[in-house]
Amino acid sequence: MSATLTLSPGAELFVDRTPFALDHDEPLPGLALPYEIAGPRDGPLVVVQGGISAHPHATATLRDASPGWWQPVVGGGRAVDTRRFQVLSLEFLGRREEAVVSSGDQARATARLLDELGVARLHAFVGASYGGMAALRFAELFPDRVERVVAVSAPDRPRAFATAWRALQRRVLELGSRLGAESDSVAIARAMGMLSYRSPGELEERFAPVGPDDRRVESYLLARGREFAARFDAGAFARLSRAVDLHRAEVGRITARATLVAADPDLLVPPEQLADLAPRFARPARFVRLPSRFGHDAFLKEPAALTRILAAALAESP
Amino acid sequence: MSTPESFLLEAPPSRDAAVSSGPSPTAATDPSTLHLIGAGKVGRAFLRRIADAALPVRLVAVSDRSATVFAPAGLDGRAIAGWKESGRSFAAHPRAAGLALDLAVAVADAQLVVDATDSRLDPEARLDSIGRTLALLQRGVRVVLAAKTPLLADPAQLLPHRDRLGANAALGGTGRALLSELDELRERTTAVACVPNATTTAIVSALERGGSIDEGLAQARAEGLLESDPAQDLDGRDAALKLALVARLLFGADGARAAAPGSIGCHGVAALDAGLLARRRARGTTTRLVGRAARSGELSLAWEEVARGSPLAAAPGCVVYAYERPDGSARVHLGSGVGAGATADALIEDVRALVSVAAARSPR
Repeated sequence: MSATLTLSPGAELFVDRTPFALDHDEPLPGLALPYEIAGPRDGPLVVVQGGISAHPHATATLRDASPGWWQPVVGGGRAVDTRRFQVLSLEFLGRREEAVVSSGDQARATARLLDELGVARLHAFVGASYGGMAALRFAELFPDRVERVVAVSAPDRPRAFATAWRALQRRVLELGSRLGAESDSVAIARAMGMLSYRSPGELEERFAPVGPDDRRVESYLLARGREFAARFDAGAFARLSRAVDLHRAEVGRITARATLVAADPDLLVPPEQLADLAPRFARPARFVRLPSRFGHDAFLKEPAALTRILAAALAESP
Repeated sequence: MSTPESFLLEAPPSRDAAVSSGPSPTAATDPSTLHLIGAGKVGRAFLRRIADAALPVRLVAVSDRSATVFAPAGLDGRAIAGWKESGRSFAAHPRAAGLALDLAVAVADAQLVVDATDSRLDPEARLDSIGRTLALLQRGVRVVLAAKTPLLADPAQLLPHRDRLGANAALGGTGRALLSELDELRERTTAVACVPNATTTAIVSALERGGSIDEGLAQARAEGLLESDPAQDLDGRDAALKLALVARLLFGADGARAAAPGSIGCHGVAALDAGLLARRRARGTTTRLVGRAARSGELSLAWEEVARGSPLAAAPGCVVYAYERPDGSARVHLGSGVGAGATADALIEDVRALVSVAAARSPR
């Protein structure tokens, strides 16, 4: 196996040359996964995973003081308290691996890393969006290895509306590839994604057109898209988008104490989908509605409300 | 070719893992002619793979130390490999000519030359190897290297031709990434840390398990990791050579003592203390033969204690090069192109890429 990757200042690297079986593709020759650990190395371990654009740097550490992607939620004295927990965040499989990957593959890769770290059982797996899907799959596949699972804006399977939205984004990526406009296509596809991650109410509040030539909302979305395109290639975007569509979890097999958090509203994972799902766990999951004008992205934009929910979930008896 | 509009109306593909990138090797162009130099273990593994790889190449010559076998219409790689493996010399082959290598290369006049010779460091062999490689590149020939010594050429002479150069196998499967990212790496890298030799890692693993150096060596041999001259692995010369050539490519011939791999102090496996290795393993760390090069010109090669999770804690069978950046991040190239089979795979990868580039440039 060969790999090229960038390790952020605080990141470590897990390399396993054992072939890695995938749900929907030929086995990978091995794994090379960057990860970061914050907090005391002897503390109970919490895995945190975010949306497809998340990376291993979830919070500032001594080795990398830059803010992480979940800085308001993970850190000393925060909801996922790095004074108490060691917090592991890892790169998503498919970010570099040119293969069809799934949330189940991600769960198994996480388990391999935990084996390497000598961790038999997690205090909790906290995931949002695709990371929440990976959390559910981990809890399903490895019921003895996790005590609590918190899935934010993450269902057991995608709904048609969400799948359609992502399929069109991938069509844009394919078109960009054919036309030699990969970066632009990534930016536009991500801008489409942004539209689904936010709520109509928020956009109206921020960008209600003040005249027929007012293109602020378009500029905003495309700017976010271009930022994303600077660090994400079309292939990785397409693979992780597809991984979300391939996600299926049998929550009836999940015995861990589970909390489902639903942003309200959420165009991609509507609250009623998670409300219906909660009773189907082996032990009924706690369902928490998180009202937010931000929609699906509430897990990034509502740290105060999320802190209360996560703190309670992490303190629950297993 | 479909228009964007018609494309949008196509049925969805059954598997859409990745967006395709770049043109595929085209069948519309003539196969590139290929000359393999070196028919040792790596060369023979390459011959078998090239026969199976369905690449648009035609093998027109294969050289070993005794002679060159020619066939302008094409040779069967498997048959040639079989000839050598039966213990026969090319000098006895009916299509062989006992020409000096440089002359044989000129006669074959191939568009692609694969150099799978041993990395000999004696000054004469080194100069021959560098001179031949530069001459080929200057003539527009594409050159793919398993041999490392040609990469010790002056970067100012070598790098202008890098779009025709393959170095993947020479650096354990990481050379392709190095050349493709070289501009950025030269600009941003402050220092390099590497574990360039897999045999030493295999021996460390054996010692950590309570075994002996001989057992580690046997394991490395069984996995095909050993150089044809194992002494180069064991005394650190192979690692020093790779460190030197990477430092030259990155920091230039003048910026490092890298000009002379012999100037790097080598620390062979004889320096390993099995008790120390075991104690490190017990506290969750490991030991690796780590090469370091700084932009200032400092080069070093030493056994280091390496934390689990460090990219330098490369698994046995892997080599790793970490290119450190001013912000504390590192670009990491990890390769497992060690041993004859994996080295041949790394050669094939380079051949595929160079043939693909050539096909993309050729007029349709």
